[in-house]
Amino acid sequence: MLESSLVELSAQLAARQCSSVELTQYFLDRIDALNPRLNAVITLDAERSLAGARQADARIAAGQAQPLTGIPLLHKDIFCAQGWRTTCASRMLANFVSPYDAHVIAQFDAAGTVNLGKTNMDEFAMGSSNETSWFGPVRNPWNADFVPGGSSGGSAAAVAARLVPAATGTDTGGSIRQPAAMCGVSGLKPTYGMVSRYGMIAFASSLDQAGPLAKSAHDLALMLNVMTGFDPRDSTSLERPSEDYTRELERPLTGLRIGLPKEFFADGVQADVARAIDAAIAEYRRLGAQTLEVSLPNMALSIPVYYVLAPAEASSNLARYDGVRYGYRAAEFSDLGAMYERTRAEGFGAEVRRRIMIGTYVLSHGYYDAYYIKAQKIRRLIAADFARAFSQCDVILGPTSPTTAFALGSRTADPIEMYLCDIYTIAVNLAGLPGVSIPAGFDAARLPVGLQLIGDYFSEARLLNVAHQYQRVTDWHRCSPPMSQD
Amino acid sequence: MVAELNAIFRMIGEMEAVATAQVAPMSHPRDVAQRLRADEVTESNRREELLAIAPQIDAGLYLVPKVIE
Repeated sequence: MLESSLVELSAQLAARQCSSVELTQYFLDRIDALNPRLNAVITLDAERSLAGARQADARIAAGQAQPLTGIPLLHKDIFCAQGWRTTCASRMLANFVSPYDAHVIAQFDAAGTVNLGKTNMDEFAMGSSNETSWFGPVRNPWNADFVPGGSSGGSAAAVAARLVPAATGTDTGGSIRQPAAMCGVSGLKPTYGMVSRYGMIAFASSLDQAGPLAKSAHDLALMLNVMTGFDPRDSTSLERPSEDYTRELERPLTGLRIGLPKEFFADGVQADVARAIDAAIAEYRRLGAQTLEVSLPNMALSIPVYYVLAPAEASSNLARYDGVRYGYRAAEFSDLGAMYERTRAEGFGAEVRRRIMIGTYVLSHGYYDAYYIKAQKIRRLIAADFARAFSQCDVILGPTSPTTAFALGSRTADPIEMYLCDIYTIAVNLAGLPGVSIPAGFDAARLPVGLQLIGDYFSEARLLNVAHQYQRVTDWHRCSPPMSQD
Repeated sequence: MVAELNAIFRMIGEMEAVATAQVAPMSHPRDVAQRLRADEVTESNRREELLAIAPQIDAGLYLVPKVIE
């Protein structure tokens, strides 16, 4: 069960080789044993999970199972789940028990999966190392003194440590792909609009997108099949014919044109990372793909653009946290204004406060055109770069992150140093394109290296095919950290 | 905090050098228009449930410090 894929678990459940209750208890026991070393999980509710498992077993027995029925999953603590504490890893929501389900949670419920608990994350999804959580940092299962990446660090660490077969995450500037890379698992950010944001606590509404983390591209496809679909309650949800994202997995790669942006292979990439990516490129050529150099000339601007747009949208989205209707309220205040100020100063961590202030400033009168509108214009230039590249190639390939995982506390002194972790992932969110990170090797310290594939809009099936074919001829995605065998 | 904010604003200032006079701002990847729906009630009244999670309530109202003397 430890290494079983979603495909295998589904077959085992169907064949009655195990029950959902057994599977759920197995992973609850693993979380109990290993989570203290990782801090990947914020909230558990064993009774509730097992009740869900019993319902799933009944569905299976009645012949009403869907592909993922009975399988336990962890959900990033950014998804509202009715009756579950939903904290967004913030003091501001530490006591918030959600009165409703996110659309994604409802979809997984309808599919018969078991909610195993809520994973740790960077506070309000703002971070690239899972060090900003009110509940303490998550540790990388490959080395406990190192970060797992962020903001979906808990989900990535949990899948890597085999605490759960798969998990959900969200990605605004790389928050699924980068922790997937640093933890040696697979993670996908779909095309913007493919997964409903209803009930997903908002950070930057034009960039946020939910997606799966799992041990393989095939498993990501199964998760995506559940997560996609039109939701009228999300005004940015796209209405498209439903797809089976596994349908192209076995397509041969002969004739595939892989674009290698020269900006992804410049200085600043750790030597071991470059080596692993080069080996992956060679592997793809052996599989029949051709590679060609492309250029994304405005890519370096993605960092300043993102750090205008995301904080601007966050300052608007986080304005609701005022201690009035739910969540944290300061204990002492003299008047309403002081209540707002103290609640927000005490309820939010430093990075969140930093981004709210940046966002408020760039939207303010006199600065709106120079900052916010300017960033929106450069955003279009960045999207146009990708469009041009996709006229020459089918997928874009590069490292997910310039480096492997770094030591806890090593980048917290300088926010900009932390922001640079996302140099290869952010542009994908700005353009709204789909991107996936898959394991591609290790550095000399046995820390995972992630390979990123970026596709054109709505090309998830093809993207997962390109990822899957690499996973058929390599074993990186089957490697698990030593502590997971304890 | 101030030093960090200033450093971030310096970084953001790099945008100034980019020529964007003829470029339209992009707020959505697909440039789609806001979808509208019929003006009909679709939510149900869950007042008690929603009040139950509030920090301070009284008689069905949220309590905050006095605003008007």
